[in-house]
Amino acid sequence: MKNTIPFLSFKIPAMVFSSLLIILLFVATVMQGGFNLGIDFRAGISMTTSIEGSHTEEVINKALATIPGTTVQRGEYSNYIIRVTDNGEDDFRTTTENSIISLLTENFGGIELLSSEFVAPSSSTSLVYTTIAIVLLSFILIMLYIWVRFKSLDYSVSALISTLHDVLVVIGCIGAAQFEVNAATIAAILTIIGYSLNDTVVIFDRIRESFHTEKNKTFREMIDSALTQTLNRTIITSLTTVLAILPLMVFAMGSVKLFAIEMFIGILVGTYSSLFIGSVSLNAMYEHRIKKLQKSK
Amino acid sequence: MSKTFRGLMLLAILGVAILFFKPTIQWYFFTTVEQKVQANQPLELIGETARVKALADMASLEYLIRQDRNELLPPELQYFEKMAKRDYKNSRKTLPSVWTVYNVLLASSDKESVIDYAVSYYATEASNLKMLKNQALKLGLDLAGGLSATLQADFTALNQKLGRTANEQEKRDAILSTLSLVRDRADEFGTTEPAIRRQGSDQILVELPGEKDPDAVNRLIRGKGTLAFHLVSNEYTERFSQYYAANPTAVIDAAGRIADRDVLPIGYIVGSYHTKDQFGVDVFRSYVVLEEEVGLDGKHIVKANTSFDEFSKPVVTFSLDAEGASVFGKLTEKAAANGQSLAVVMDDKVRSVASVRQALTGGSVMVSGFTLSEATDLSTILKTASLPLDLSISSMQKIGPTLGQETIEAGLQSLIMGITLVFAFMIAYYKGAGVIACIVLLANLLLTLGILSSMGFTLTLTSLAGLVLNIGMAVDANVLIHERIKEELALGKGRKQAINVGFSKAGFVIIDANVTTLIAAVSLSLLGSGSIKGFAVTLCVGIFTTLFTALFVSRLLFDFGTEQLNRQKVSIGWGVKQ
Repeated sequence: MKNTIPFLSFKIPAMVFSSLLIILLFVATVMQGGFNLGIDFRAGISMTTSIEGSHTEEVINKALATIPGTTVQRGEYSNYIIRVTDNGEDDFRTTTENSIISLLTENFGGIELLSSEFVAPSSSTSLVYTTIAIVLLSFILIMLYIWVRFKSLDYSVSALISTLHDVLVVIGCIGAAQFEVNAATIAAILTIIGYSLNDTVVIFDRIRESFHTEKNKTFREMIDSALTQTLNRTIITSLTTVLAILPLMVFAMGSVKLFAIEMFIGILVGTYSSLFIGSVSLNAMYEHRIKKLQKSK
Repeated sequence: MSKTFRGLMLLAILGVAILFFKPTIQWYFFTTVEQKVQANQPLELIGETARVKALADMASLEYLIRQDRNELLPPELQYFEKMAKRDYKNSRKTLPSVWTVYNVLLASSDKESVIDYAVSYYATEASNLKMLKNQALKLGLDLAGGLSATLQADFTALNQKLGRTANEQEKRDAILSTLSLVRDRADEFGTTEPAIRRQGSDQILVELPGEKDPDAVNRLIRGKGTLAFHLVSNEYTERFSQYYAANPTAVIDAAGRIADRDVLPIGYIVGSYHTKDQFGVDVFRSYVVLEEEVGLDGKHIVKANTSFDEFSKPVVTFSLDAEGASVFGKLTEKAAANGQSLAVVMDDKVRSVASVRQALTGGSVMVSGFTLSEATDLSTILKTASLPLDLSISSMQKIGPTLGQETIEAGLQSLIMGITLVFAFMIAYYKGAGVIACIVLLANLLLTLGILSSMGFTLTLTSLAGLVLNIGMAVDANVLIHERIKEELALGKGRKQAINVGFSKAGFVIIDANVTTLIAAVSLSLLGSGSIKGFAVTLCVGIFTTLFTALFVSRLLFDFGTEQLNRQKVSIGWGVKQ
């Protein structure tokens, strides 16, 4: 038998580290004025311009790099639709229109502004709230499932804590790094929830199995040995998923790249939390119950 | 289950997946740009375009026959061979040895029949292309662009309702509720992830993915009131047809009136009666004269169900509200007493004319004359409330993908690179078992894409994210199995036993982990909308294919190695002594 790694000895450092990390990330987010919402979630202007010659969206976007929150979309003929999120300044519209026209003229020559309109966001914030509500509902269902399968509420609660931890860290990173929040961000967070749950359940399954096969050990030892036994799998799975994401992080552009970076963070945090957070919580709840039992005796 | 049976079942399932996936490959890789344009044109144009092409082909046939009647058919006209063979058979002539232009036309009865053949050839080709397009996986707004339309709101109805000019706040509220209804409709029609936003103070900007068909926008803004029942006047229909035969140049205006007031008294309008041919193209049948007063307004219809009559033609059953039922009862009573027919008018066209024999008081009415897609569209519109504001299309243009072409290309290349890296790693780390894992993953991808395209799914960046998670979980399932087998081998078990125990132990974990995710995926796909739904559906499908491929396909491959190839050891990488 291989040596067992005492994962649970890192209980205190892990808890301190995680709490500090989440607090720091959210403080950083708030200090920068909250999340950087993209045009999907915030109002802005939509300009249709005619630009001479054929250019890719990326080239035009690069020319407009100094104006934050711009997206470029190609229309028919040589029309381009440029959208800029409202930054809240008083003369946002006129300033932005003027600077876009001057930047485009500087870079591409013959420019004509065909139309300019104020547009509301395409994804309403109610979409976000509904999504959060559905996710919470499915969390309850998942907790029920785990409760039935593992015959203990401890597993349900710990799986939830571990998943919430991952989501909070990722959302915190998105806010702290001021990544643009768009429709793809929701997909990334949902993906991370799925990944994190998968990871946690696999390890919990092993702990439950140890419960039957290694009866002479304490619960703490069982958790450590289960974590050690599945460590190989944890590392290989995380590594392969990172391998799949890596090229996207390096070579992809725009929101695809952001998605990959968010996924990468999610996988790192997910791996860490399934080793140090879910297990710690499981053990704490177990020990708490034992203590209560002893007291009542 | 015997292994042969399992093998055959696997082949059958993969075969079906390939079959489902075939249209997608054909559409994206083997369809020319011209053919794509053809498939994207609205249904009404297909018949017309086919006719133009057929006439052109007829002209070139005539030209060729004048030039040199013994010349062989040029390749673009070779489709006439089939027609010629049919005609030779019908007129019991012996087939010629070579298909020269002259020989092809020899057995045809007249010029019209040749043109008819060519029209139906081109129309079939176009509708087949349209079908292919519908069967292929579609790409969303972010990956392929689509159609952008600006809808102008008309506040007249609102002002009338209020009895005064609406103020800014009331206008804003009306626009917002109209907008959310348009969004609901788009969801009901299954439009994947449209972008719908308010523009300025009185416009709505709609962007629909992949659609090049303006009709898709029309469906979103169609009101309930455009459907109504009118009584038909037999007497005036007769009189009008005589008048029209004598005056074929008579102009009928949009309201159904003609300039010559003597023909039709006030209170009667002319409606053009259209039916659909086999290609879904509107075909004009005749003019019918209707009583202008609406017999029953479409707003009384609460539900529309589609079914088929005994000739397997689609029929729609409308259910009416209480008021509608009583109005309809009186209407049909009157019609039956006077021997009048009842016409169903939609979008200013008469879609169906039926004679009424007795009063219908049941509160439901069955109507034919709609295509299945129209009937389902209708029931979909009825499911959503009617729009508080009238919308009209003020401008429409094609738009490119929101992500940008370079971004998509770079993303696709990286995705393929990522999958290749995963495969390389699996083979390097697990050797033989890694090869099995790669086969399993490929089968998984094929199955997932096959199922998704059979559902007419629209692929977007978010659904690709679901696919990435699916690959991650599928790799995990394989890793779990392999690690378990390794553990059992380390305990000194032989190949067969290690595989047996490994699969059964890992199986539980894999099912647990996947069911947990499935719970979230199912609730998101049932309750979510837009991009959330796309993600969740991909994930749901992915979970089933992962379970199937990891537990069934992978097992089959391992067992094949044990029993057919008589392997004693497991090639599963480092760390175990066997």
